[in-house]
Amino acid sequence: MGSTHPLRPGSNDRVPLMSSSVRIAYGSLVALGMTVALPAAVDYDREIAPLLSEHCLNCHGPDEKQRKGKLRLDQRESATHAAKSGEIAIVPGHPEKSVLVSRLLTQDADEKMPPAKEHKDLTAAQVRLLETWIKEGAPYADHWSFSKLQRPAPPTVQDTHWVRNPIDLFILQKLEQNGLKPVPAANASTLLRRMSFGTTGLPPTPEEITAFSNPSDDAGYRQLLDAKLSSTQYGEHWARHWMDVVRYGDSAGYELDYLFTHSWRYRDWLIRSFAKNKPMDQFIREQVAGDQLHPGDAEAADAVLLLTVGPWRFEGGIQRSKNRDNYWLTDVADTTSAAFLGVTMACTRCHDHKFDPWTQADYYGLQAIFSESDPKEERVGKGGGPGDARPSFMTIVARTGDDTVQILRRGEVDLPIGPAKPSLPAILPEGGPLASRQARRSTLASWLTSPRNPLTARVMVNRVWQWHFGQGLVRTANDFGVRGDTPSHPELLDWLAAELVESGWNLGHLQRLILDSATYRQGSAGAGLAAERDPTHRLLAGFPRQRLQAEQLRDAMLQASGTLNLKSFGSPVVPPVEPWALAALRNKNWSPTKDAAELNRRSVYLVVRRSIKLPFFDVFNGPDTISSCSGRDTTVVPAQALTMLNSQDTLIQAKLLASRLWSESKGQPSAAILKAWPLLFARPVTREEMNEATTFIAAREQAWLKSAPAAALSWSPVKADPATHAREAAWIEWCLALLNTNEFLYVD
Amino acid sequence: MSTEPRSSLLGRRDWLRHVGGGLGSLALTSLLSRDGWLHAAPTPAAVNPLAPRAPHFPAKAKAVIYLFMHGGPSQVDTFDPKPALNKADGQVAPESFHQLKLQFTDVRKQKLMGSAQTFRRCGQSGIEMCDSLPKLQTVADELCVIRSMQHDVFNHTPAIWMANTGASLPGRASLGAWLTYGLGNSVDNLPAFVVMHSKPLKPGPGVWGNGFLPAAYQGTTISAGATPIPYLKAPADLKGGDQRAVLDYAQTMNRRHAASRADTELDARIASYELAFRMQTAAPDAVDIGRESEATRTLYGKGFGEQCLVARRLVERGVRCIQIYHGGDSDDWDTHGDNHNGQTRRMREIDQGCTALIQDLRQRGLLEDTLVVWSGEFGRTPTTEGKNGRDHSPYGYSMWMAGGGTKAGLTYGATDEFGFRAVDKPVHIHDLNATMLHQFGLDHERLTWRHEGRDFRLTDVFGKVVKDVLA
Repeated sequence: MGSTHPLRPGSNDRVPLMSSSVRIAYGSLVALGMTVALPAAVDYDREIAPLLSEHCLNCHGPDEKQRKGKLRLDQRESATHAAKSGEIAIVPGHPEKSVLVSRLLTQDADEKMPPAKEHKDLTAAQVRLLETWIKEGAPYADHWSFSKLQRPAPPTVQDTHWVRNPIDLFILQKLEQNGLKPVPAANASTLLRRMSFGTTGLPPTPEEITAFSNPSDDAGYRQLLDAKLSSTQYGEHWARHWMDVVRYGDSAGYELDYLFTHSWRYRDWLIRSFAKNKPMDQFIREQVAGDQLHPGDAEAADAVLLLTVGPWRFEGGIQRSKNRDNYWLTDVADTTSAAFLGVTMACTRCHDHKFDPWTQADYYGLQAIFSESDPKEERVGKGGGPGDARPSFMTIVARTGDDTVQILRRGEVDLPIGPAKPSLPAILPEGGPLASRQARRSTLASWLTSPRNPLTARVMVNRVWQWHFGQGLVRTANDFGVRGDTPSHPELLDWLAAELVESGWNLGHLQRLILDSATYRQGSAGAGLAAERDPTHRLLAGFPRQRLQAEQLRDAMLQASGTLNLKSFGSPVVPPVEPWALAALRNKNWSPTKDAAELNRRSVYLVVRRSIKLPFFDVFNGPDTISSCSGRDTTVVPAQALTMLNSQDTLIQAKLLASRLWSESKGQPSAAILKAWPLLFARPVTREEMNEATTFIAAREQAWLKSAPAAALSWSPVKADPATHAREAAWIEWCLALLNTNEFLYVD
Repeated sequence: MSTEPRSSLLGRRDWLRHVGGGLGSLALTSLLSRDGWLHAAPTPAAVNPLAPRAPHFPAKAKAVIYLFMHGGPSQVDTFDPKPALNKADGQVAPESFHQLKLQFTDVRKQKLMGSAQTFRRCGQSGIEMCDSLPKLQTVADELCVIRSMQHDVFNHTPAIWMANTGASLPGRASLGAWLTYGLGNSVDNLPAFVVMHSKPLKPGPGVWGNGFLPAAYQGTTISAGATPIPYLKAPADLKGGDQRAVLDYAQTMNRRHAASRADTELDARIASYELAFRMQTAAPDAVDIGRESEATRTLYGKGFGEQCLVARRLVERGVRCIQIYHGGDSDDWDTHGDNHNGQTRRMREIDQGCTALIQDLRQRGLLEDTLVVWSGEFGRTPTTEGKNGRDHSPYGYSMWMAGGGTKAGLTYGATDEFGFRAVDKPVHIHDLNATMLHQFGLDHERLTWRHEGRDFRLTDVFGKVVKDVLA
């Protein structure tokens, strides 16, 4: 494939993407026609570790305090070592001598493992698997995500014509192994709508639809990609993705839930960073330590506001205790470990991790890194005392006074065990205590983006993959630990991570690689063999259909009705909200933005109040803003249908859409129908649909002639005559129906 | 209601494998590809997160009506009379209480304050109750009073989270969400978990949220009046329109769109529109207390009583979990000043509704499998705050249950002589939650959800079923 689809970086890319040596190695593998041998042996990391983790490690794992009988099964040395009694849990090569096996198989209730009360019994097949593994010598291995990141050679495949870039080799290999075929390429309108929503979060414009009509028009497609990926709208959509990961909010949450006047600066920094394709390593470093790395730089100071946009606890009584400081350190340690390392360190707040090799020293060591700084809060305006709900402005400043962080028993501030040394997770390369006098956050920032860090790049590319395909190669985007998901395509994940690092952490390059792959450009997943063998679309025989996110859905309605205000940046817009939605909110300082045009801005600019979600975002699965959100749910509940059918907001959009179509078609239904389909579905209307729509509109028009529509169902500047009014009302109902279609709500 | 085979709740795997169809033709799918579903087998059929599911073991209760007293009722002024406290009124609290952490006061600097309420033993059971609850006194023999509730969260917001979700920080799933996850929804035109409140709550609506569970399990707030559920009625401007015609047209397009795509989620969304359509008729009817007899409406009274009456109508229609929050905002059970009068006002507001609910459920044969729960997020100090108020105290407080397989006429557990700390048979919130789940046939240790690499439970890693309070 190499010669027909040269992997050439796009115009915005800073660094060529693949070193020539890699390309040669890759080419020669293809030439040799090598096939991949399937491992005959039991794979510890894939098969045994999850089993031990689920059934054994609660009592025989890393957590020393919970460990029973001093037996630890997650480390080979301990598991194969004779206990005081002389018994050995695992005798490599000899399942029959291994006490682990006999204790699993025994019928003696006192001896049986796991104990019955744990409800963790193993199946016979699982026990056989353990026996086989022990027979094979009980080899242990590093957990995949903690192992060194190396670029694997792309595999060879049979159908080389399909392949557009190395991503496709990894995907196709798995498909072929499973007897599946890719779905034929998507047509132009499907691809364009998918790519447009995927990059900018917005539907394509009618002009773009006209310009890109041939899916094989590679030059046209790449030109579109370049335009999309360099737009502010791309920055807005991808900033919104990242805001989920970093639990973004415009208010403190908890009881008082006062507004933050600083959060939006961080949000704008995100938008600008994505829009200008800031290298991802720099993107990460600036958020962790921008103030230290670039002292005096206003932009870098905005980046580090990451540490201040989380929930902030400030209610009666709390301010007197050490609790508040502890809440903040907990929030930043949990958020940064989840966001950048994809690990759940939160468990180690109370005890050593039961399944992953993190310790309390690691966790409080991370807190101690942040404790060199302090979030300085200035309350805006006059006031004070209990119940103070004035807005606040926060910045990160150096801590004055004692910055010692105590390791806490059960995570409780009143149960300190001893001081924690500022340190990086000990089991990862270059981990351990920091040298004194190092600026701690800067050290963390460079450690996170060091080429030797095995997690950061893997976690980042997985998120990017998830934001395009709906699920990551690892479906637990925030948990790359032992209990997390195993990657569907581990070699692809590593290849992409290596590619990201070697390209200079060039996200734009990664985007082009994914968006131009044959994998991405397939038609959408459908029925047939693939649906049977791979119903959850992990193998990617076809593009997995996705429901629009809440923000995409609202923005798409505004764009269709022609009212979307593309003004960018600035303080959040506060939309008016129905009284019932505010009824449960205690701090009611809700002052809607007056300027009507502001209310039509993109969803990313709407205020994110922690104690109450905007009803539309709530019902369509917005993130909870309390902790890092690894991915959105897409539930199907009747409340969504009620919102789309009955809310005043949707009715207004239907009316605006109808009046737009009316003026663009001079009131001719057939002309309006022709215009509506590209606007809503990015494709031309079919004859059948044309007939249906015409019939529907005509029937409703007749009905409205008999029941006078409300004045609001008209957009005529002067009072419309009854016939016109009936027609306007019918068009509004028609547009309301179109907004309620699955084709509008889903991206193929 | 349902006729489809009921699956067992042995685990997510089975759950997912079994709950294909559900709710007749309904199949509300969730694209359950998030953390919680990862270890599940691939699912060939649509997953209906609300399909009815069988419990772990036979249930005693079909529904729970949870009357939540926002702000913290005072145990020594309601169900836990303390003669010794009255005698010691004005004295400094004994040293053994000095270490207790309170939100606003320092025990050492406060005085013990007796109760100005009068108490009597009621019914055959002799349950003690203050005279500001005259009606409730008449149904004392239906109650199971626990006097030894306790936890250690002394602020409202985290304590309300604690009571509802088993954790004092936001992010976990509420009891109602867990019940819905465990058992599904047994009706096809109403939500399984309904919440009523008349005032803003300190923690906000997240306390009836789904937390990390799928959003389908969150509580739905309903209010009295024309719009019990958000967007339940077509907008007034569309009066004279034909919603069915609009829906039929959209559904024609949806069915054609779905036919070529073989995607169960699309089918589920088509079905969810039909459920939404049915709810528009069913929900207003369910909350319309105008359909009750004059006698019944008089029995329940106004305000809180009306909410209790709505709750009974919902139970009759198969709704599983109903929560009514009494209080909220500034005018609630949170009597930092003028404790006696504040508590008395609150008791008068709830006395009639609670009593009517128990009597009415009993009379209709519904009390046996309807669990009524009355509790606040904590109790109050036997010591003063300011001149005549009481501070929050989670260390020993009272609540009661009725019906749903609980032991009627029982007083369980005890606080110390001043009513500060639970000393006999303490019951933690985790124990109460474990017990409530138990009544629904759910083992709180087995009702789990995988999130961030851990199996979460309503009861965290604690909780034991309080068998002594069960019939």
